Amino acid sequence: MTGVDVLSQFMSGLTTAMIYFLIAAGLTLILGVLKIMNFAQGGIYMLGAYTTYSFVKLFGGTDAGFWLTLLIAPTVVAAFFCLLEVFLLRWFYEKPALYILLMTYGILIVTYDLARMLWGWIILTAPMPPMFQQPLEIFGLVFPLYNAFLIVMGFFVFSLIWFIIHKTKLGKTMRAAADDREMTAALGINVPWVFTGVFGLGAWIAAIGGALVAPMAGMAADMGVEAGIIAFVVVVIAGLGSLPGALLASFLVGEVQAFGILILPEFAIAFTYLVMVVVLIIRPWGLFGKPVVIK
Amino acid sequence: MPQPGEKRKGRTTLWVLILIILAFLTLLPVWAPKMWLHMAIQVLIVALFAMSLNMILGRAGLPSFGHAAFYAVGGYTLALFVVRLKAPLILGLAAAPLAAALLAVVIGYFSVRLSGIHFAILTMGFSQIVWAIAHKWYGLTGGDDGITGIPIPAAIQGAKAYYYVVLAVLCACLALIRIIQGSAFGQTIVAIRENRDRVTFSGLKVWHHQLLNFVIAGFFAGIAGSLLAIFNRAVFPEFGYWTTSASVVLMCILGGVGVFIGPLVGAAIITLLEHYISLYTFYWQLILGLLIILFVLFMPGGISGFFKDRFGSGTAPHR
Amino acid sequence: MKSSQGRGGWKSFGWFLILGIGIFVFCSSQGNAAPPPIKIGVVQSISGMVSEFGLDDVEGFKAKIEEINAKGGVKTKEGLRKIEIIVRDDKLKPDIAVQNAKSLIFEEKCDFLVGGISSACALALSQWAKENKVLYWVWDARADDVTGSKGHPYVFRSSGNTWMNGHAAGSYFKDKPYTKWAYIHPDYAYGREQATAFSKAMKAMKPGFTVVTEQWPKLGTTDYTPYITALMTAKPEIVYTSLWGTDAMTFIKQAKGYGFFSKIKVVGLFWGMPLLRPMGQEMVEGVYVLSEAPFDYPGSPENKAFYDNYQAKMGRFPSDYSVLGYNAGSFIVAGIEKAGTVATEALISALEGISVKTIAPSKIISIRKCDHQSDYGIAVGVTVKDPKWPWFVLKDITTIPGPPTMPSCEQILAERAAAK
Repeated sequence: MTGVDVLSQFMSGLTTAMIYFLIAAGLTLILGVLKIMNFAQGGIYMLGAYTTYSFVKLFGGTDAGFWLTLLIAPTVVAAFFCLLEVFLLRWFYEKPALYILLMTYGILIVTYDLARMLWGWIILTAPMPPMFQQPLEIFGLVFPLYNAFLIVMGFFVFSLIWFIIHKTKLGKTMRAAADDREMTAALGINVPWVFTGVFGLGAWIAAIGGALVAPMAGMAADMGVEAGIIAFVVVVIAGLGSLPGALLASFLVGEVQAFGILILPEFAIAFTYLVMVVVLIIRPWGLFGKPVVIK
Repeated sequence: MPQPGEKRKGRTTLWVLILIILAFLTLLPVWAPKMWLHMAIQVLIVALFAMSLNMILGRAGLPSFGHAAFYAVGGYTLALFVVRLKAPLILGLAAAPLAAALLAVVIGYFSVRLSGIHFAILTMGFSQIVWAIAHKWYGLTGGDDGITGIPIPAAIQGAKAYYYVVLAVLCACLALIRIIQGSAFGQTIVAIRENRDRVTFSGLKVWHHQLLNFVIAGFFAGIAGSLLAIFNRAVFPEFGYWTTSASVVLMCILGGVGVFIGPLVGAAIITLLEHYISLYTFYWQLILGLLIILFVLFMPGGISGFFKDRFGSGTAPHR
Repeated sequence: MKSSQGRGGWKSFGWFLILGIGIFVFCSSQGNAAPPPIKIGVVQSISGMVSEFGLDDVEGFKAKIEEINAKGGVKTKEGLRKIEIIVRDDKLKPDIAVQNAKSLIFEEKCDFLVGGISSACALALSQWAKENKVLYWVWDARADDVTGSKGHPYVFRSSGNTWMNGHAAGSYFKDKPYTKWAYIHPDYAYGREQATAFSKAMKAMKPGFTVVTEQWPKLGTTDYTPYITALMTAKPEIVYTSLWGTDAMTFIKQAKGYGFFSKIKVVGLFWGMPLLRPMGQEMVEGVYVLSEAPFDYPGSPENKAFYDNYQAKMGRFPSDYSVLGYNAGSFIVAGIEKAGTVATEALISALEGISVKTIAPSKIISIRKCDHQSDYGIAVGVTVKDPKWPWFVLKDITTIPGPPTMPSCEQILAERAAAK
């Protein structure tokens, strides 16, 4: 095993980490602000991928078409889920958490069949845009150009969301509504619409995760199932609502998995769960979450 | 406010209803076609599972999304005892709930310290770990093939005979749960749910009570799991997957978490729905999902909650 | 007035009598002419990751049954009987599979059961079939145990199993120069069995065979890059994989980005149409593929008819799985005709040792008597572009006949005895 091999594995882990981050970031945002576990997140991711497939095909598989798709597809999906939030979820924020959990679970399983009805029961994939088809080669290390693009996009999405949350008025309002809903409403802010905005943002992140994965993977109606579990594990480790936490936790999980695969392939998956167990026992609110009162 | 006379009348009506249902269930094997009998056994087993969850969900007010872990451990313990250790069935039946309770001590210890969404996430996380072990540890659990061919004594091989066994176990467990919930311990659990700080101030250790409640619930889930393993003659990792946990939560909410028999009603409806929807379409997830959505929108109190007022049974608390 | 009414009354009565007799005669003649249809219960995994494959099995089977029904039905002692199929989805859950079996046999009164793509479901259902003495025909599930240690008189299988797949691959690759192999298989029973079967075969047939690394990704893994780089680090000459469906597709797309295929050879087990069609021009040339029924058009006249009808109905050409379903149908129809009945014991005897000509590959395939396993062979080819089609096809196809790749009857009987 040479240094190049180790570096190669590290870069693979980084790719994995970015995909996990995109899936988990939306979930943690929604969890942190709206305090709900959005079971439908995996379904949003899946619909993002399928919608991307359709738009890429529509634009003839060209490079320009791909950029256009990245702009349009996740927005379409996020808009759809904003509508769902307005009509289905809004009523339940004040009610016991259980109802909204069930509602999102109901939405999730509807998305499976929705995908089957719209795209069929067959396996599909979005064609890789021509500009990414050549691999990158640096210092003897071969790395797919698309993976590099994905990692860059991951950081871009992180920066964008972080900027929105911490540097804009909208973000301030979101944080205020998360901390104290009543006070924020008393200040005259339309909290329900803020919540819709947060949900839409979380959905957009998941959808763009799906969009970015579409050219590099096969898609099926239940690709969201595995994604949902990953998002869940990352969020458990990271803690609720922390975006930098989600990034770091994704990185941790991605690299632990990558090097587990290299060193002990038989048990690679177990490592991820092991990290989750340790966190659950020692810091149940996650590595970067807000500590919660323990009885 | 129901008047004393009305309350008594409501009570009598309730008992009459219970007797009618019991008579119906006892006589079912006499007239029901074979498939209905099998479905009935399944419903009774899942009903016990749902009832055990409601001890945590409804009574303690803690949203557990990992209850399937105890269900699975109950089933696997029975299977391992009877198939691998070649032990008699009775031993397996005794070991199953104990193993489930033991797991509940471990998971509960870390989980009941928290509440709300954190509790949900923790219980779900731990149960996924249990599932992962069952799925991965090929040598012990058979992996995704599960453990099949569980030998059953001839006496209960017939569906009719096993139906009565399950019915008897369910009734016994329900009686036990009712007694526990009516006891001082049970009342404390409700008190904790309604006003935790008050209970703490009175000097009682809140999380001790909740842990014990959690373990008892796990115990009964283990019984249900072992009954299911016998019924299927097999146990599979799916018993412990998070969707099984979500499904039983749905049953409790559908039936009504505030009513004692709520989970039973929910279990019956969901189990039968899942079977019969699939007879007509491959898009069962669409139908089930839409039903869940509609149900949460229009009947969040549960079906039993809807009828609860008719009987005015004051012991069933409002959520 | 009265008398005219009375005459009118008798007249009406007369007409009713004639009508009644006519109806009676008509009904009895119908009863004599058409014996009731044969009901076959299909338990298959439709929802979940195997959707396309599960559906293909079913549609191929339906194609054969529709052919037979168009001729009036299958010939039995009672005359020509049409075949009715009832399909149930086991949702990839073994306990649901058993529930479906109960429903099909007890409620729908099916004569026997067919199906099985998930081995876990097939094994659970097989166990139930044994206890309830119901004939169960498995068409796609590969676990050896189905006709091996857990086999019994009531279960049959028309597809191959993992032992056969591994030994077929072994008999092909023993003649190739590669000795440094690597594995990447999905982390569940199927993947493990395929790996074990190939290892066993190659260790016996190929001196110097080594496996430099084994990778076990979870089903549904989105990101294969760490597995790909780990494989490349181990520097094998060739990789053997049983990844299927979206996993196979994701692996190929991501491995391409690393120039994987120019450095390391790949053997894909069952990388047939469900993979090649959507991959289109993105597929890689020079990949070894093992397939029971590679794409072949037009082929024989029956084959062309099958492909054309399937395309007209489903909007796509049949896959290897559709062919499996169709061949299962051929076996069953032949069995019913030979037995003249669907009575379980008679049908079992008729099916033992039966041979049919399969539609693809066009050859004779038989059911072995000792374990009810078919001797289905497998084709090995190499992927190549084809100007006629938007997807890649296989060239240099070698067909490995089934019988030498099967475990011996002695071995099977020993396994079954040990399992008791």
